[in-house]
Amino acid sequence: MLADFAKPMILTFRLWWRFWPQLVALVLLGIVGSDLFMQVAARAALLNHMAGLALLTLVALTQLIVTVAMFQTLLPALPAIRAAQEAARGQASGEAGAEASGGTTRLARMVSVALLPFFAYYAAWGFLGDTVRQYSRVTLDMAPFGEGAGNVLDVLDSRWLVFSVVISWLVRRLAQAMQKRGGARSFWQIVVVICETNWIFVGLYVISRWKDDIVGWIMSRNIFSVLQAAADGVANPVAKAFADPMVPVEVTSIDTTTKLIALFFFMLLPVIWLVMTALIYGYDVRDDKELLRVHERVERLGARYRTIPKFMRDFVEHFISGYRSRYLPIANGVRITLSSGVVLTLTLIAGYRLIDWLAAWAWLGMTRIVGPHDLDTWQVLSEGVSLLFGSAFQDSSTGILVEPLRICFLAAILETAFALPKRQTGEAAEPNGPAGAAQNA
Amino acid sequence: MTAQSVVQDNGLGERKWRRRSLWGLLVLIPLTLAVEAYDSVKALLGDNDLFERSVAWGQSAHFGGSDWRLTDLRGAFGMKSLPPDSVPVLADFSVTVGDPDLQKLWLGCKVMLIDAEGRRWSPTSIVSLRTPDNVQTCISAIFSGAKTGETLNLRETFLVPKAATKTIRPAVGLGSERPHFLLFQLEKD
Repeated sequence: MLADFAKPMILTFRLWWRFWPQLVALVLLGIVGSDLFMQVAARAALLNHMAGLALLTLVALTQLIVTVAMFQTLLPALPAIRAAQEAARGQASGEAGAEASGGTTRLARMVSVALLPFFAYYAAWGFLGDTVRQYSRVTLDMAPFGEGAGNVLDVLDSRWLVFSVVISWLVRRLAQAMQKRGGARSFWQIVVVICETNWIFVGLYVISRWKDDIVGWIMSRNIFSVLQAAADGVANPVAKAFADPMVPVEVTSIDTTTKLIALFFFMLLPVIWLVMTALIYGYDVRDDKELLRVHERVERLGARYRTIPKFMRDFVEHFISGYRSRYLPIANGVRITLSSGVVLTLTLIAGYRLIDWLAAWAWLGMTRIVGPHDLDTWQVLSEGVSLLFGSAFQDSSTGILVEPLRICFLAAILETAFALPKRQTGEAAEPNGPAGAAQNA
Repeated sequence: MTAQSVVQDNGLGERKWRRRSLWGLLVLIPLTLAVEAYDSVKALLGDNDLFERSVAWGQSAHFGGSDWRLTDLRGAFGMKSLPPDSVPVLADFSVTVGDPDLQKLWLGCKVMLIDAEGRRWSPTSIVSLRTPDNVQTCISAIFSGAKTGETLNLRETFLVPKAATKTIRPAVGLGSERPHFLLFQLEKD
């Protein structure tokens, strides 16, 4: 059991030792890139609020690309994942495209596969809000008190957003047409990816805002307070049986339900990151029977869906085409890991949090070593400390010592799961699945 | 292409990229630090008096568009109702206005005393001494509407420990000149 725990850890450090220059360089590129794009977006926002928001998507896209590129860098040292990819490729040999195309196109494809879940992850953990907050801070710096530019975020409430989506849809169509015509394929692929990012970014952020409005509206109805009281009563029957007396804040305790919910989300983040990892590697791994069966069912659903008028289908296709079959293999990767034993899952959660924990302490320890200085000097020093370890006080900041380790750890967990003996025997016995599996990829 | 050659190929490519990345780090680390810390460094340099420009006794120095000269630095011993072992110190400057846009050039004007250990004292209002009508402080001079060629008499009052009086030197910092500041030498230097 100890060996099960130690294996991914050792692999993590082996990966890190082998690839640290590339990984650190990528993290640095990501930091510089997103900083630069943030400045560009803020400057554009002073001219036109919508343009600023559109360019803001590039910030999030930079982060995604860097993450994908880091995982790709590790691939040569992950034999089990590569073997699974090779096997999948052998099965889907009828498929034209991904394998034949060059590196840039491949990366662009992988980015577009990871796009929706990455943004979902991004939005769910509040990073989308972080990015928007950072952006509004930068613009406020440039135009103190909103002079001249006004509130750059007002476009989020305007109907012009629909235009932004329509424009990105038109540009995407154009890019796809150009791509079909041939020539500079990877360039057009990148344009497609940027358009998709724009839509998802704007869409998710607006949806999360509208959601707040809707929830607010529901909350303002009386009926809901009755329901809520009932729900609270069910969740904490004893606590609510008494009228709440005044309790000094220092003797209050957090109730069990809150603790359990917090624990759930605490454990969820590593698992979500594992999904992201599986997603990035799993693009080529589609080789599972059960999943194919699910896939066929989806295909049947697709036949029914084809009866919808074409222009509407086109519009919907813009958002979901490709995703339908792309995400099935991902479930595969995660299922493999989560079903490969409690130890590995626990290793994932504990190890991921350990890295976070160590980074936070390293940050704190470093500040102790540097010692007290006046505020302006510390502002400069803190940039250096945060560059090394990331900062919990800055929105989505990544340290060059921490981020590569985290990526190596996630890759090591997935590799360990793929390398488990029971999985390898299962693979050998597997019959060939229908090649149609990958039609939509 | 056999599987073996693919692996070898990857190995070669990997080594090449490792070397490239190592070289790249030499550029990327300073670049990232510069990009990230730009605003903080700008604030550090713009808000602090860091680099001294020494001015000999009796000389005047062009600073913030005007010519600054230290005319007197003396202690006012024997005052009552002050903390023990503390001495009020008066610093007198004579400034010939060059560029009259004082509201811009003298913004954040700070006169201070610096001792041999690097400790700094700001002006105090605890001690109030009678001053002639034509004597102003640095801040009040900004709004005096002085024209080019006029001479302003500035006085700042400090309260410093008696032990520090031996090594204190007056210094002047202006927003338009930071991070540089003037450090005036005394006659005995």
